[in-house]
Amino acid sequence: MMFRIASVTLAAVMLVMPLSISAQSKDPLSFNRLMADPETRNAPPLKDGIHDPDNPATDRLQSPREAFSALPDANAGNYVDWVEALQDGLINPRYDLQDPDMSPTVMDLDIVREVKGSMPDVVFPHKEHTEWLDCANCHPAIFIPQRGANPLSMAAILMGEQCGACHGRVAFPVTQCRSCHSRSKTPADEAATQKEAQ
Amino acid sequence: MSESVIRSSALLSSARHHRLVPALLAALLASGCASTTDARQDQSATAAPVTETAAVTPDAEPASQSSATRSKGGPVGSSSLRSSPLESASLGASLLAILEETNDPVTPPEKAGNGAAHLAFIARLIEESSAAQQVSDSSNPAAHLRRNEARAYYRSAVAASEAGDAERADELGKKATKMMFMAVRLAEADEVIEVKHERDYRRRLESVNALLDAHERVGAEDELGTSFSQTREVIRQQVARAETLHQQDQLDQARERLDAAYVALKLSIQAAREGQTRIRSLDFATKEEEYQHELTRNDTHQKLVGLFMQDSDTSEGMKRMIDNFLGKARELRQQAENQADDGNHEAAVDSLNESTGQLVRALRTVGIFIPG
Amino acid sequence: MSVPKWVNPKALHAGLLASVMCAALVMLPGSKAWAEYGDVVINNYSEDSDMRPVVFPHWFHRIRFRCKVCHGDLGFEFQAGGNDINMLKIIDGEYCGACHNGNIAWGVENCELCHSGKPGLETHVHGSTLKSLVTPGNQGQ
Repeated sequence: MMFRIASVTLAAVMLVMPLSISAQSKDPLSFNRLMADPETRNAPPLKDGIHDPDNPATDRLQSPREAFSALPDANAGNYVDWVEALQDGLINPRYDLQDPDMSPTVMDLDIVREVKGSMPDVVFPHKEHTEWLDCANCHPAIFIPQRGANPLSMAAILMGEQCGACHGRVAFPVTQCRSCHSRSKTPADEAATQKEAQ
Repeated sequence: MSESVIRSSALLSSARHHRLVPALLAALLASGCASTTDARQDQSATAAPVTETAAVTPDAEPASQSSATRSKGGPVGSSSLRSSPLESASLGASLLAILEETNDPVTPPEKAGNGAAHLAFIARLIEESSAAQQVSDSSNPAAHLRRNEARAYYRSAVAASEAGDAERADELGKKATKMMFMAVRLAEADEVIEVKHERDYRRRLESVNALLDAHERVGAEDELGTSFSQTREVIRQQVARAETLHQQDQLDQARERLDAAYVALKLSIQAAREGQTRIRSLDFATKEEEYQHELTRNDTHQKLVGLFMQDSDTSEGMKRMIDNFLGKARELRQQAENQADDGNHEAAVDSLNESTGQLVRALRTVGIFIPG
Repeated sequence: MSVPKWVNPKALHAGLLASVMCAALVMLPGSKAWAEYGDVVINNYSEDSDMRPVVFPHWFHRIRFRCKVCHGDLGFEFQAGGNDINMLKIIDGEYCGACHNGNIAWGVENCELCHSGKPGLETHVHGSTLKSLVTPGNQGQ
């Protein structure tokens, strides 16, 4: 009789345990739903669900967590702020295939794109992009280098076109609204928007 | 004397290729293994045995030769005495392959385990793959010889695997793979690479032309004067010269010239626009245009709701609220589409605005902060 | 297995069943793969040739090279599987083979270092927004 009770109780406890554990792993930042649990993000290849653990060489591949420990944090993507890492000199990736010492041709040109509705206007900074990319990477294949020639649509971006060629694949995803929508509309702006002659 | 030396001297007496005998003797004395020298791409078949000998190989790769010496366990004469049976077997196997120019194809290992699966793959690589095809089709004897070396290494790898030495089998298997890749390089099928280089050139040319147009616009807009235009003319001439070279099938030089023009163009545009800000305002020529814009804006918000709702932890109450907003948004969108069909784009724009507003409420409920 | 007389077989069975069930629950792999954002799985030809799919880690390369080097100088397209890469091209020094040649980086005779993906994965960019939208609930798996 005692054993019967004990075994049923044990069974019940063991059934409930996994459920309660998953509830406890919710951290206070669970409001930010798309943010991965710090325990599971940047997982080593053996545990990341994509690499085959049966492959003999998988354990020789470096764990991202190890490499990222020295790099500044971010809230999405790799959870690394790559732009800051570069600007702070924590990484110094090569710019040219043939010449290891070539420095990038960086152009500081901001393009402000007005958006409808209440979201702040988008600022596209050539500076941060030309530190990594070459003009030919985007022009003209993705963006024609001409005012008015590139109607942008966030729907397209979400589907991997235009800015979505990189943002949402390798560069920070578009869940980071403020990274692009960074220029607030002031009443002065709205009243006298600098209209460029067409 | 070690096994390999005995075997080789037996072969000497029956060697069909007498010209190889001196080379063979030299090879016996050498400790280096052929695989550690980088493939000399232009070596012909008669020179191939030379690669086996440490003494005779051209001194272009002294470093790898000495490392080969180290890896094989010491200087010339003593290596064959000190080396392990498997190492001697592999060295002997290479020599055997060269001597008899064996074309016998290899087969997957019979015993499973100890890396046999990967070895089976290597056997396929050597005999059945597109790489194998390329080598078979090649008229370069050096490619065939390299493949025979690969076969010899493969056989040693199988022997190691059957003897239970998985690590050695893996090492020899990698050597076999490397040899096979060298064979492929020697077999030189240029067509595939040429296609890619041509495509890369065309893309670069497209970029240069687009940026030249941009350069012109920048010059006009900012009124940068004649020296700016002259720079552009010089660059255009360089591009024209690149194109001439391209027409003459000199793709490498053409690309080099084009790249030089491209860099000059980049620097010129950078100097002109550095530090500036340009504002692109939303101007709609007609209400219809604005309607189209509003449609895509509505689509965007729909997609965003989907994206942010992936977390299944949304509570029931929240889900109901969101469905409510989504329902209203759908209705308003339908209303807008009807109004547009009737030609009333102004009303349609307003309806769409309201529809998007409902979607924004849904997003706020999910937890995304949208101002306004 | 000899069981003492006082053990109720039904309770024992229930307990064993419960234990097995929760062991199974705990050991079940999660539905989300936590691979690195930006990892590109390429399986155009690999699995047809009985090799595991390739997993290309963008993060590892981003630390060492700017986007321009591969996507500009080497001619890689911005599309998973869109470059039609095969081993012949790599062996000839194009695409991956431009660096993975034993000189700049390890050589391509190390098959398992690249061909390390789980069998059955299709070509995609892990964690991409596009994948999240198309297959909701599966973070780009």
